[in-house]
Amino acid sequence: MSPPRRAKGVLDSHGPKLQRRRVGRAGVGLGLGMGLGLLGMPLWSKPEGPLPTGAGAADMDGVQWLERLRHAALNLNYRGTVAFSAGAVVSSSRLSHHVEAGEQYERVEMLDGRARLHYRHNDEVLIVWPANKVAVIESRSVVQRFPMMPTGSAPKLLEHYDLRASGLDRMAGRDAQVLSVVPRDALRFAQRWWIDRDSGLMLRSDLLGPQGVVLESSSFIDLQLGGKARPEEVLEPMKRLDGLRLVQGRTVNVRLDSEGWSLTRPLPGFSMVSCGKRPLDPTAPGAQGDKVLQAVFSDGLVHVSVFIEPYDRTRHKQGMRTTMGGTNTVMHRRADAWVTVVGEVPMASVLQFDAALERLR
Amino acid sequence: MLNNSESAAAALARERLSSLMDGELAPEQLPELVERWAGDADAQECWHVYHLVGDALRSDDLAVSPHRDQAFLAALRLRLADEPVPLATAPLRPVPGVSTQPESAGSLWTSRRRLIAPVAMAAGVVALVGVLLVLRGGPVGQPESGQMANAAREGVLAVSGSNVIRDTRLDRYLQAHRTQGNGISALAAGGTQFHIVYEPE
Repeated sequence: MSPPRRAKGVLDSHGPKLQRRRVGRAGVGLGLGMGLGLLGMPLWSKPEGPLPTGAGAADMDGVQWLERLRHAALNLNYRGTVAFSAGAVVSSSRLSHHVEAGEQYERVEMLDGRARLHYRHNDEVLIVWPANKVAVIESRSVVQRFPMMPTGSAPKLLEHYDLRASGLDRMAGRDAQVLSVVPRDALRFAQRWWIDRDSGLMLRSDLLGPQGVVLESSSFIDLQLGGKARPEEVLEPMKRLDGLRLVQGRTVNVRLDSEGWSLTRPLPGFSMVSCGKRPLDPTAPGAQGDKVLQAVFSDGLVHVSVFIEPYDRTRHKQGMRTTMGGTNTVMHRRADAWVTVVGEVPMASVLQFDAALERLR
Repeated sequence: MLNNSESAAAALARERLSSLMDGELAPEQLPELVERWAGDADAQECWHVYHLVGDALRSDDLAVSPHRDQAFLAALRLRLADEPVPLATAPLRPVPGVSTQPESAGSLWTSRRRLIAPVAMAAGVVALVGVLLVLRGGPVGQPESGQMANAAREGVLAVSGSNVIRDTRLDRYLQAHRTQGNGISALAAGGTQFHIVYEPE
């Protein structure tokens, strides 16, 4: 079988324009060789149109792809090693996800830096730092990075992104369908997804810069799909807390306007998915009284967090902008408040969020 | 009188040198002028100065005042202060020009093409190093130092001296943004490196 190698040529290209051209060429090659002429069809201009999924797979449109991804990330049992890279920074973690009788169990172990373990049983989250013997109880985050799970309404998401089939590849030892996720405006980054053809699970997800440069990438290095659920892997450590200092890091839901702020006009496609108060570093002394307001906005694929806290001259020194992979940050003083906006969107979009934030009182 | 006639002759010679430069000197006047030039230090000096003047007139670079360079550099610093510095210096795309397959003998064209990309990349690296050097030329210090704050207030680019900074507080925002629940965080792994641009207040 040569299609994966062929398709690889497609993946090697950068930039939507270049890619479309090369997809066309590769499509002809595949069509001649493998009867997959579908790839050459100009169906990518219509997001709702059928997407080729490779030989044997049923045609799927954008909504179906999104539903399939979501379903797989939520309902499958899987364990594997995930690598994350952004710019020059690389890290990895071991991940397992089990579902039994409708209950979700998840365990994530960071393999670099300070040892850290995440355990999740449905919405209960416990983060354990073995070295400091600290365990933090947190709320489940709305921000799920990998395997990325589209949120909100799929048709709405497709108003802002165009899904295009971009050939076949192999990833983590499995056959993958590659999808290009092309934004319809400059407010967000493009993405490229590798989706397991059998299960629909996301095997790799790249965030792409304007010239098709990979800004951030998350991928399974190895993956075991299926297998028996082992809830005890999560439940036992969540109960066995002796010797650990237990710290409260939960988010308390609040309304942005009752806190004196409003962001009624976020960027097109983005809506607020959560708003709460939480300690920024729950393990720090005095953290319980030192809480930040965090409002999270999402366009269904990426998230922007707006943090607001009282200005403190000892902690908040200088306004700054930072770029790290595809994650842009702006932080600065706004009268008696300190505002930080973080998101996997271009810097211009982060600044627009910052500008849209209004003080009510 | 002699002096007068001498200076008149010198003035005439200067005028003719000027005409010669402009290509307006009558051909029959050339031998006499050349003869004078050969034996007259003033005429030689004059010829040289006229050329300098002509060069300066024709060249924008020579004609500008030195202050213009300083103004340009100041403007550049202001612009740089406005620009975030992207950290994604090492794109993850496959490295062009690197082949794991053995070079096929005699294919000069392909081997050439494989060489061009690394050279281009090397040039890119050199350019990047150049940018970092420019950045390092700015004030150097910890973010909390007064020097840094002053520099930023003046609109001067203030990037950390090592061009890589750790801000644990920034780590926490990033962590709070994206790391709980399922998922990965290189950002929380510790030792995260950032490029930071301080905003002019």
